Amino acid sequence: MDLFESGPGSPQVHDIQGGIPPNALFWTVPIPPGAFGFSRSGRRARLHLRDIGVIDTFVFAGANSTPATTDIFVEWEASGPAQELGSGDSVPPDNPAAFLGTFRQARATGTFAGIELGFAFRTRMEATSDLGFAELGSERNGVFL
Amino acid sequence: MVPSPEPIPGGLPIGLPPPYDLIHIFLPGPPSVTLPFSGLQLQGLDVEPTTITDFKGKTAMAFLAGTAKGSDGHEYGLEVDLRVSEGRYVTADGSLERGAFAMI
Repeated sequence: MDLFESGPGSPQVHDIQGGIPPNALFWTVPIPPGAFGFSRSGRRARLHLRDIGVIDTFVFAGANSTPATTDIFVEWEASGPAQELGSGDSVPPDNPAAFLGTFRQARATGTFAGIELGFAFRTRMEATSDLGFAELGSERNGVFL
Repeated sequence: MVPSPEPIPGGLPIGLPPPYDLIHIFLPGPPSVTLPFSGLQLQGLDVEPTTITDFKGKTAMAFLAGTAKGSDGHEYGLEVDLRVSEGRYVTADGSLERGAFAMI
């Protein structure tokens, strides 16, 4: 979750993320049971997180960090058909396609907030994936291929 | 606390000192998309969206953008790379677990 001074091209001033433990898992934190769920149709998903412990390194890979907490509420709604993606174990394990999945492209909307010593922020309106990308689905990788 | 999953083997070579020499994440999405604030270009649709290996379950991911109001009164540009995965996974010691994780 990155904050930039103003518009595109302006400097980054906050980098709020889950940290990297010794096993190199990237910025990934456990979330409470029930915080994430799919609709029965599989066309919608919802994430509701409150007071998740993170850090702010201010810039990407910043040497300094401070503890922070974040609230995240995001909804996904499928906008396209289901697509079979990935090449499974026919490519090396470190290949970007080393998975098998069924995904639908989606539109995601959400609100975000964070608080740390001396600073807090909150989205003014819903952030969207309109200038980015979103997808949802099911997948398997590694030993499950 | 649930046992930690392991990272996907591949990722983006950043070339910074560890742990940022190789970050275990890809950037799924149309290569025609360049994210508005970070300037990152997406890598294609056939690209692993989760950060967790030895995983089987549901995943949702999104690159979102917007604006945020700071407690200092300033309006900031906001860009978020969010990945959420819930399902079964295998830990480093080989045990099969179930859990949910978010890359924030």
